[in-house]
Amino acid sequence: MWKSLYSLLKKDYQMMVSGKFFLVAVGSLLLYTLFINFGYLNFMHAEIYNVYLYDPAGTQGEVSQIVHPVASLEDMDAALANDTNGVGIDASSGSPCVILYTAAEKADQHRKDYALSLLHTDGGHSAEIVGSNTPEMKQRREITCELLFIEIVAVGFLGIASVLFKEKQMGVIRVHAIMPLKKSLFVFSKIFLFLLTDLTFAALMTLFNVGLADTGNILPAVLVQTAILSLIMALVGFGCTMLLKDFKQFSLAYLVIALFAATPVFLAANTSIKMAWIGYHPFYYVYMGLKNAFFGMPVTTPVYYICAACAIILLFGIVEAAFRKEMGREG
Amino acid sequence: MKGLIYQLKSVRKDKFCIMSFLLPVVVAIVLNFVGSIDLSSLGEFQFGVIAHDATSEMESWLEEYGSVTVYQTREELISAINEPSTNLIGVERDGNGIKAIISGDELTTWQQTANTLPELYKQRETSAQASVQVLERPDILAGYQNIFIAITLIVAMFMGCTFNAMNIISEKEDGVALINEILPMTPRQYMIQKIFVGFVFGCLSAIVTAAICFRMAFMGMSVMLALIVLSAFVSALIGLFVGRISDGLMVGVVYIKIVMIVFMAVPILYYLAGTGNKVLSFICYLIPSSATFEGIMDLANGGATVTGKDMFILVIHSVAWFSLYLFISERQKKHA
Amino acid sequence: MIDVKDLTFSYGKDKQALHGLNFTVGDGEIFGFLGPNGSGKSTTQKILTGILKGHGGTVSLFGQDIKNAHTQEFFQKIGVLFEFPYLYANLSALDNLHYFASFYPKEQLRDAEELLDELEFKRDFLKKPVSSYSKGMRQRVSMARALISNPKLLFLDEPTSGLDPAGAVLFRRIIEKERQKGTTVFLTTHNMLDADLLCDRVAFISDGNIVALDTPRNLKVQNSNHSIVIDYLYQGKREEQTIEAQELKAGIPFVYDEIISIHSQEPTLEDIFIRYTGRRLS
Repeated sequence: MWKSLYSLLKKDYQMMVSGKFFLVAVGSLLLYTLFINFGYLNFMHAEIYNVYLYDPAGTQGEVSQIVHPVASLEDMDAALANDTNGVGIDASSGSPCVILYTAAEKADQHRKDYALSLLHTDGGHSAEIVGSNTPEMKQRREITCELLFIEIVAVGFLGIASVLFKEKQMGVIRVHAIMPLKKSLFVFSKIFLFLLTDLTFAALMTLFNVGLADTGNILPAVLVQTAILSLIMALVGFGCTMLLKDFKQFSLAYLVIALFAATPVFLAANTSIKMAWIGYHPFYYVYMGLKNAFFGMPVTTPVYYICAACAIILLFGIVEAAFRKEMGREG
Repeated sequence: MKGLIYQLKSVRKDKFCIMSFLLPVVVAIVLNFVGSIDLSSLGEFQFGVIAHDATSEMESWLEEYGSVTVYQTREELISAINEPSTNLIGVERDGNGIKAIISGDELTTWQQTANTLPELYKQRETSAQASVQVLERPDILAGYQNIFIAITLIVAMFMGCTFNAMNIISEKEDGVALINEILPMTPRQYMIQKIFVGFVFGCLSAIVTAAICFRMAFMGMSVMLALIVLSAFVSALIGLFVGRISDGLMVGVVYIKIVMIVFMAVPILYYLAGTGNKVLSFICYLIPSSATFEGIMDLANGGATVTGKDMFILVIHSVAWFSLYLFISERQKKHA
Repeated sequence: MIDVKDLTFSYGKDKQALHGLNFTVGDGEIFGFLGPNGSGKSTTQKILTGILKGHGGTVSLFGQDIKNAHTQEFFQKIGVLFEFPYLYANLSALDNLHYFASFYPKEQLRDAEELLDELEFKRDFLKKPVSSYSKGMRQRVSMARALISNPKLLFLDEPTSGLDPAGAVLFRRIIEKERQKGTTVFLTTHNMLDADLLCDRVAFISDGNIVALDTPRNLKVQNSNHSIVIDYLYQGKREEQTIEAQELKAGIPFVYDEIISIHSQEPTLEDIFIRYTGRRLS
């Protein structure tokens, strides 16, 4: 059995090399790392609204240093037209009049009160900080998690399917049908190799983008979650290849899975948009598991792991049955 | 002409092509529906308070700025604050005032908001008396909706690329490509036959999508139609190139995806980065969809100031790609 | 070696492919299974090799009912050459053979390079990827794959397909060599010449039924009209006469100057097949 498994692993590895799978993975890793370190982190700055004050008579005494004085109402209009999130205060009459472009009702209320508060600053308060991450570290972990999720769901899933479709095209699957080989080993060797690749990818991605110091703490949990996601996606990819006629049909299924499965998960997990049915979405729990692992809050409930294990075992059984059926159909 | 009918027949039953045709139409319908959903809650702050700590006055005041969630214990509140997917600001009573609690990993907006919250609370009565002049501006979310619509239209127009590429790749896989080489057909005739299918379906898909998304005056409709026709033609041409360089279905699908990502990403990034840089403009206009996107956004915002320029750019693309493909085909035939 | 009794199989409710086949194949025999496309040849082979399940009747291989027989030991004893050469296009001939051979016990294996030499495979291509091979080369590698494990039972589907006449002769020689080693061969083919030259017995299958089963010799004799055509010269003119073979006992029964040639009008296997089934083989 070990000899057979070794042969299968060696052959699958050669297929992945000739399909440039590893090259694509290395390219993706490089691209993501460059994007995170030189793109994403530089874009992700959101300052609070600018406040412009027109106070020719100097009626406002204790104005904060961060308020931008303007020389005329025209200047203020121009500044606000350029910066529609900004807030203008016309204090020319002695009592402040707030001028702003409408956004949303509650946001406008805050903008108004915030601008007015800057006219009576008393040195400022500092909020109590209860977390241990900096904004940069949070962004790094978030984006690394998202890109890792995309890589495994979209790219890895496509990778195993393209290797299998190639074998289907070459007709060699039917040859395995008449070999003295446990059929489940054929499935197992592919899944195992893709799992290994995904784990390596996850480890490197985390190391390059989260940093060595923090990686040590979170890596075991991240790898566990990566393994769960990788196994599920690899098995789904394998199953789709067996059940679908050709790569064209698979592309359609891939589009549906990648777009419609992943999008609600991202929306729910990263914004305040929470759909009522998100609790029924299996990817949501896996993504949250991965995200919590990145933030040092790994899932500890045994129910989650039991469900994941059951899902993987069930998928493996379905895939193996589909594989046997495919061998019979092809032969 | 007869050949065209059979070309149409061959893509008619292709599920990939049917899906490519319908996808932008479906997305357009969804976007129309999404436009009627109130997404203003996305811009609101989220506050957390502790059950027996916060007064009703505190809660009502905080609700003027966003949503308030009540937690039973401080530990629960801190756990919610540290939850990575939200930017919850915790608020506790501090004598007659309040103090804010944050995780420390929020963006500057939330940190500054939290830092200034106690001051705002102190001055709540004063600020209630101040006068406010609210200026109208277009709904921010409508702006985002226009971007989505423009991208969907681009996807629709560039369906022709998918159609033609898949058609040519299928011919290669079935061996029909070899037969094409020994037919008495000039490269020009071949090109026209191949371009026709993708062009027609690209136009159709875009027209249906535009009809769902936009309600325009006649002049606007004519300009939109011209944009659609030119873009669909360019896309159909690019599909020929993709089909030519792909040696199999899987490779072809990857190339098509790369082309679509480039067609969508470049215009969006250029739009968000701003139109100041001339060199950047030139580079972005090398991608035909940049001109298309700009034209659509112009029309969506009620103007037509740059559409003339965009159509001119698309005409240049049409001529350039057509000539290039013809040149390559004729050269190949000569050297074969 | 193979014992088939009342074999039936349906692909669906209305798609009965086999209507009760009965045949046996002895040890060391080359058994030909001839029939047109859609006759049930491939279905029968798939059932025997264990690819298709759910058949009716009994099928025994190596003395065991096939329903229990498809274990690893079973697959170690068989070799299968499929109709098309299914190989890993990105691997070389040697890599393909080493890969497929790795699933069999070492002591059972033949040397891959020697086997390819025997099949007259061009040495320069040994390490080149299969994608660069011609059809004939791929067929040679496929045959090597089927033979590398020294199988006791060999299933060959159109073995000489895609080969030039010299290649076909080589393959027939190798199949004959296998038979001399004691290997049983189950041969499915459209090629009458292969069946005629190689098979100890042939079965004609049509629409899921075996319509004839005997040695090629017996089938020809049973269906022959025993006539002979003689080409001869008489008074400077070339002429032809057809006579019964029995008439030759008394000598040539007509006047001639010179006999040019004598042709037996024995039917070919294809003629016999058409007679039994009413249609051509392909």
